[in-house]
Amino acid sequence: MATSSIGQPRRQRRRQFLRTAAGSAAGLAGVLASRQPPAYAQARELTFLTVASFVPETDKELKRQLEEWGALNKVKVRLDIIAHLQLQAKKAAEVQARSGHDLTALGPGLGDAELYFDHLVGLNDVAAEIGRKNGGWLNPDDYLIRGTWTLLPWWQPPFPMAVRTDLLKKLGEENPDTWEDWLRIGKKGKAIGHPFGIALGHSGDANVTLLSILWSYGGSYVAKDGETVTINSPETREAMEFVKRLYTEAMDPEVLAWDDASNNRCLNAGKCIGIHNPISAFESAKKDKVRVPGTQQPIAEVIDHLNTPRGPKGRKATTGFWCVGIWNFAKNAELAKDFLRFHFRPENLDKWVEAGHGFNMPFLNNLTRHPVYESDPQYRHIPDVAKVTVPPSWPGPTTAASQQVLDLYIIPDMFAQYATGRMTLDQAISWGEKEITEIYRRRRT
Amino acid sequence: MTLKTADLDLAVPVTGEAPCRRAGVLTRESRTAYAFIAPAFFLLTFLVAYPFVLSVWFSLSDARVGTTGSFVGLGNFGRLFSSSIFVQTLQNSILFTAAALTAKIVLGMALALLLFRIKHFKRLIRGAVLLPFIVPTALSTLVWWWMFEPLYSVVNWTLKSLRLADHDIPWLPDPYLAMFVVILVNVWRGLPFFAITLLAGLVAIPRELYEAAEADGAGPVGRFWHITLPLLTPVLAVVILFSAIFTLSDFNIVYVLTKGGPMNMTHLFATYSFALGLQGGEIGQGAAVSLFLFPILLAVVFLQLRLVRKAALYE
Repeated sequence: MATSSIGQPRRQRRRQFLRTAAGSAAGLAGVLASRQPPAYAQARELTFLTVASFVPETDKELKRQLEEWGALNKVKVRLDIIAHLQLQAKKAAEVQARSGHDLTALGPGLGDAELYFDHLVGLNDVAAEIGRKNGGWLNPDDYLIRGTWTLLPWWQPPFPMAVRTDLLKKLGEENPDTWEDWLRIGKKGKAIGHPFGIALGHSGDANVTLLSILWSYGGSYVAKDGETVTINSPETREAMEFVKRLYTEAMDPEVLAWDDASNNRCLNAGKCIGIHNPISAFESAKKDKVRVPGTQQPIAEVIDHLNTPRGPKGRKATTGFWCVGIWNFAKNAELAKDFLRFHFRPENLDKWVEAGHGFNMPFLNNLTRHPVYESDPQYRHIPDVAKVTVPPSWPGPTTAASQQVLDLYIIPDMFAQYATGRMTLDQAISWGEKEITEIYRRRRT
Repeated sequence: MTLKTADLDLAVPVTGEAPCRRAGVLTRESRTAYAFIAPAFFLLTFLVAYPFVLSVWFSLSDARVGTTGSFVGLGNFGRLFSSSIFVQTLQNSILFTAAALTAKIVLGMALALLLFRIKHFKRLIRGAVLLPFIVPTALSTLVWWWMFEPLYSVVNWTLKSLRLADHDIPWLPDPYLAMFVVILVNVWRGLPFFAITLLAGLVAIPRELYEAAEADGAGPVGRFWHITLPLLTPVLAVVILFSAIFTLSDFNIVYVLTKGGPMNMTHLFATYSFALGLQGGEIGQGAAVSLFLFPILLAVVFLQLRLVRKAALYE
């Protein structure tokens, strides 16, 4: 009895299983052969890959807008947020597999426009419409790669100087404005345990700040033609001498191992007197109610932002040019364009910048005058920084080679090798020149 | 009596059995056998062979992200030597592997001998020793990073509290200390593999040999030198072989701790290949970096496996 009652259903289950498996296999074969998903799987879906913002409210607002747009258009939406350092590998993997998200964050830097030129959807129409509605793009010529828009510059975190006003007062310093001022202040600060801080390692911030110094001293690494390597110049030497003094006299060796969050931590821990960084440190100090060590005073109250420093040849800075684009292997390129139009509407950008409290400044004229930059006295210089901000390849055009110079951290390594005494000035410059020349030569072939 | 490892081969062919294939038709047993082998065969083909062949192709081509590239022969390999970052990476990889491997052999052997002698809480202790090997590397390395991170380093805090140092030691900013730290973390992570595998080898050594040696008046050092070490050689050789490959291709530890810095002084083949191939988009060049030591490793593996097979187990 027991045997039959158990044995019978078991046989049926086996047959049933075989039948189901055969049916599924046939169905799968049909789907693969026709390359068409079955009707029930054809629901419209938009997927978006982006990087985690240093001000998380920005991402929350973006998600809200995506969901709002999805509900309006009856489209299923998915926002995937990854750490910014993972984006480069993720993009490369998606392009290599020709499969992945529809919309993707690109950058930092405009180089992806050329690196992935053959894999991005043209966005001339969308860019023109967005520019019209937002008072025009900030520097439209910078964003035209090979004469066309394959990505939209999305947001930049301008790099002012984030400074401790209480420590400046203690040292009797007022309104520092030049890099030399910061060397002097850093020296005094270091003597009382509050050094100056700029990253000199493998990090995005190191690229940004060292390029800012290089340009402010009149140097550059590539000429306007985008081919001639110009790093070996008296101006570069001057900039490198300055950074060596900054490193040895005004900073701690820890800057060689800093990542993009280290300077924020240094300021908010009450150690650094000043850092060259976006407003994210100040924002997190406010949000987390960080106090000046040993006191009850909120540290955000004694943090101010000043203009990016001036050098002997002027004031220039760069930043992470975060962009957004649509893969040409996207399943829903038209939906992706439609969402971009929605997100870049003035009222939506307005809310998004508000949520990020100005950390995420769009490359659009009207948005650089967003009320958030007047809401807080600490933000008064942010629009000034944006005015002197140029793409990292300046004065050359953005190319895959210029992007690679950043990705391999050639500029920070060149500066660090001289600053730490590992190489002489001539050796370090020759090293940098050789590496940059080789990158540009490889990309020409 | 001389017993060789080859003699222990269990795959002894059964003689006198009819061939599986009769007039081109597979027997029922053969079909079943092929069916059982098929999944493993396909897994190996698609997950091991295909990526490997593809990476060899990439290394011989000028492929960039999104392009298949065209054949350039050994051009990528030749070009690597013109990059001082690659030459630095080569030096780093050799130093890293040699130092980490030596430390793991010595400390792994010591730990195995210690574990062998422990009588109480044997299972608990052996399980605990395996922990560094089990915890995901990225996670455990992140903890190490916090321990050595310049601002909040608990190591520096402890050293200063104990008055062993009067200033912060630049563990990660200093190129040589950074290399020391990545080697340290690699040794910490790889030690259990050595210890547990060598322990298995120790357990397999017949006790009578030690008893006979003791009766002959051999001391602890003599017993280790003349019995333990020779009989552990085959196990040790295999462990070293595997560990050399794992160490040389390490990625997580360097990526989390230093990202190859400062000044490229801790870049290994895997991290530089990642920077060049995936971050810089030079897939061909990146593949050449990661496959650079492949021919040498292949020769080493071949020789070592031959030696292991020939090695005498019991004399």
